Amino acid sequence: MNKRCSIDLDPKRCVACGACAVACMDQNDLSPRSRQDMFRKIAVVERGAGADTQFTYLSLACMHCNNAPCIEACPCGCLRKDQETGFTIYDNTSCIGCRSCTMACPFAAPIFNAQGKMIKCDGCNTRVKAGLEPACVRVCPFDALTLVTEAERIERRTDCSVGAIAAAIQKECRAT
Amino acid sequence: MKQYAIVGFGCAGYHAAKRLRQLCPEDKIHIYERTERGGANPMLTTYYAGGKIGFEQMFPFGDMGHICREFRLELHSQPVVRVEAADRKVVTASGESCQYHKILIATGASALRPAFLRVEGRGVFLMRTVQDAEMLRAYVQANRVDTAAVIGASMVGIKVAELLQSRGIKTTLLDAADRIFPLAAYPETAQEIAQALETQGLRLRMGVRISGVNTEGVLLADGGVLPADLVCLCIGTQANVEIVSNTQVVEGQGVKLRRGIVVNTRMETSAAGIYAAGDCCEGRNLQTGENMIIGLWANAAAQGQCAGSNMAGQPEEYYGSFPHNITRFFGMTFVGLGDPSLPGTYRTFCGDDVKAGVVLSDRKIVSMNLLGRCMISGVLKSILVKQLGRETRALSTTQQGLMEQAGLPREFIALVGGMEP
Repeated sequence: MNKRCSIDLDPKRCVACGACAVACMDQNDLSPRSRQDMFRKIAVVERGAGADTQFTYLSLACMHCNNAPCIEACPCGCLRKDQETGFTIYDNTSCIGCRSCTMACPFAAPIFNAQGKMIKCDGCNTRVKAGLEPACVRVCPFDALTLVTEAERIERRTDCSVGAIAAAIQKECRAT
Repeated sequence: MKQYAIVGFGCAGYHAAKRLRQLCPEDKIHIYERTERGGANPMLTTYYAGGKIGFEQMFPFGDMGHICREFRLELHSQPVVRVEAADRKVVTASGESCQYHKILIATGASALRPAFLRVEGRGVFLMRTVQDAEMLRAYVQANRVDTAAVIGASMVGIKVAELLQSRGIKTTLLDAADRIFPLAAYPETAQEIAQALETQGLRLRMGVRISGVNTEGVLLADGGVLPADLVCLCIGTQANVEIVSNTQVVEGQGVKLRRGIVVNTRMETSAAGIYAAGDCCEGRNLQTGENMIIGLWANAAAQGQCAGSNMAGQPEEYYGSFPHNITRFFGMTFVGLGDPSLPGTYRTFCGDDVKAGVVLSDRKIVSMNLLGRCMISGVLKSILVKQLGRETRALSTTQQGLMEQAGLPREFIALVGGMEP
């Protein structure tokens, strides 16, 4: 495949219903009762005031950056790119819970489990490799979340894509 | 066929070699590394010494033999004694001399052990190298240690104190500075950390000068003695620059040195054909515009890659970095962004499970401390980077959403985002 996949969000379609977050918890056995962070975060951002108030609805998880800064930041070599899908995947056997990935990630994607080891969205790598959609994409009622390849994302109109915003933030972050 | 040389195979050396091999499939790459191991991460040494990870885990790039085969590197295990820049030669301790086209100095840094400090007796340790970690680990396993003193309230010092304390050793952390993490924490944050540490049984002695270490323990400058069965010095590092300290291309034109090897944004030193990357060199601090050693793992990786590209003839620039740290110790997470001593207006905020201190100037972040749940630190760092890079202050909706979701107060978000509150 070798497609550099990512899960893109069109904020114009998103209503922050949270169905994706629930599907993600189910798929990855994450319990909100554990007071642990979740892979996918839902936010409603308010800008302006009065009649000019604008709302943006967001569902955010790992952006699966091209030059993912978390990979180099990890002192234990836990993170890498899947050669087939391009998702940023991990093996946390050697994780020491140091939070270096947290500091490197501009999207607050890495979180820590009860054992103190890093976990994060892996794009439902196993599902995608088997020809299925990621859980969040499959369940999204408005097709706001989609599984896209790098080429498809670039082709899209940039104002309809969190991926485009993410790419801009990543570019700035490469400076350090 | 060109001959490239890389002296030192830590993080910067590894990434430079990898990049060189990608860009120069046919050329020869010589690695000069004494330890014959595949690049240890100094940050992992305390985890090994404390028994939290195994020996192999200190080497995140894996086995040296495997790396050499993968990137077709020629390994020389003889220590390099000097670089002869005029003839473009590397000279090793055995007298072997090798020609190079371009060379990278990636010799890293060593734990600082000041000459004035009289150190006598056994049970005195440093913490930087694999060997340091092995010695400390073996010592605490083989000997009865009831009391310990860690000199230096640094990011390393606190980890050493943690591993000793967790073994039931009564540990005291000392520093000449008046507070913990003096280069990263505001006085209020340091005070809060200190209280939490003391609650957990760690003894703190800040603002004390020491004159030496002997079998009794730590000798204080005021004549007192702090008894300790084991002492660990964690007072900082110094760049390993010996091999280029006398390098001259032509009379009077050598490799420029300050505290580290001075490099430009292409990782070039002042001597033609000689590059430097990682903890041995001084890059640009983006906040102050001045050169300084920024001893961070990711910084070394980026500098190594940049050096590799430029050595291969593909121009690339690395504009610099600034001090930033995230450290987990005694169940706490502390984040320090930027230099806390730079001037500005200081404000504090309380979010859900996190306390934040921030210094702002001209509606931009100068420095920041976080204590508590710090999952949002990467978002805040990326905002600081953006503000350093160019004038646009607007926070993206993504960044705003993530910060609100993390439970940070609205006023704080508006302030660090450069928005009108």
